[in-house]
Amino acid sequence: MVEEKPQIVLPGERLCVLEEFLSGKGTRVSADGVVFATVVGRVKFDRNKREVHVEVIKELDNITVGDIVLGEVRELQSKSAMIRILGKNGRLLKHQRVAALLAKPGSKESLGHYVSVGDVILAKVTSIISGLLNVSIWEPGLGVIQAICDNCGSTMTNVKKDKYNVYCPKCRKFDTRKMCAHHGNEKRLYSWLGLMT
Amino acid sequence: MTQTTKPKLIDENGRRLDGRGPTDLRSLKIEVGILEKSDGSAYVELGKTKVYAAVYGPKEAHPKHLAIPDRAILNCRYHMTSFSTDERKILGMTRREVELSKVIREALESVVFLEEFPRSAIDVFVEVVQADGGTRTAGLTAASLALADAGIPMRELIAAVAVGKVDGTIILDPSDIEDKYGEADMPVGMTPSSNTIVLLQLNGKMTKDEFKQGLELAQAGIQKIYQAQREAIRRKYGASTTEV
Repeated sequence: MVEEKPQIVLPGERLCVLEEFLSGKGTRVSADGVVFATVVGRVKFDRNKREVHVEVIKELDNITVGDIVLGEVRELQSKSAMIRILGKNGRLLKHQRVAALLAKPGSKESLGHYVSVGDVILAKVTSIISGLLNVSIWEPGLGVIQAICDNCGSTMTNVKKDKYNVYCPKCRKFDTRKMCAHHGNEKRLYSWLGLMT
Repeated sequence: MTQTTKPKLIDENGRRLDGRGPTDLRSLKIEVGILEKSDGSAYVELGKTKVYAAVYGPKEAHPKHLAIPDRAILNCRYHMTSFSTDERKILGMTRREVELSKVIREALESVVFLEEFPRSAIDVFVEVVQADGGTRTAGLTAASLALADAGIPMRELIAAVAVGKVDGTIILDPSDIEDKYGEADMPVGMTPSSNTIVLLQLNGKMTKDEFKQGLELAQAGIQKIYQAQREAIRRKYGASTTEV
């Protein structure tokens, strides 16, 4: 049973002692065993888990492991790429972040076969090690959502020709990408970002 | 015209120039979440002193080499607008502003859980739009509220006020003229629940007893400011902040 208190608590406000409820999200325990709030929010007492939480009023743009993020490929090397994260779970981030995309495990092919600089990708956050984000596109449904031609900078379209799967209508270049299910679907991209009216 | 002779700061009835008693605060107005584009913001008005604070972040630290692998960096900029004083202040950061940015940053660092945001930066901007004494304490009060408004985890809020000594009397919250002609000025920043001192400076001379009296007076003023901080958050988020 979760009991929510209507009161708003402020950082430092005493909530209970450790013997009553364990410290949950938005709380900390002082040296003398008092559980106090660390954020401005509403208090929730979870009587099943015997935990107290403070539901923050203004949620931070925290990225956690498992989040699906939208990013742009900024730098590319054979084994890794630098991704600028623009949005997560269907909304734009206020403060953009940088993540690393590593080559497919076990693959000898260069990452350039799967992504190119300027591509917009859907990726999943696989690990966060002291603030460093790692993302992966090596799962079904993830990959390039909008491919950019590395020759002329135009948006590429889907095509099936030999090993190639994208085509630049402007400079007629064929290329390969690791595509996501919605590649080239701008409506999908905009709705994912919450930009559809 | 600049006044050269020292005015009588406390009259026969123990009243100060603005009619306050020695232990009275100036009229206090606090608002939270007033700047739309920032992550958190606050406005503090203490008499004629008016200060805005805005918080941006946590975000990536720039330049990259400044990032710390196990915690966030807190950048603080205390700045007085050129029209905030009687005589136009020069543009840019003066030595005083650089020093106050540092003391405010150090006070805030002691309450913010920076280790929750490794390799990140939190930017705090304190902008004084009108100065009439006590700008650093009003700035610290506003900055702490803005951090809380941004949803950044903190050990406690900070409230700050200055105490001064004028005509041999210890007074709370000196105004600009009392600060100029007074014998001492002591800004104090504290966490209101645990009474931990996070900022203490002393300009001038005080005896041991006067210092003790001043600290007690500051503590009482800080409790009043803390109540106003709580009220401001209650007004903004529309619910009671009574003890759980």
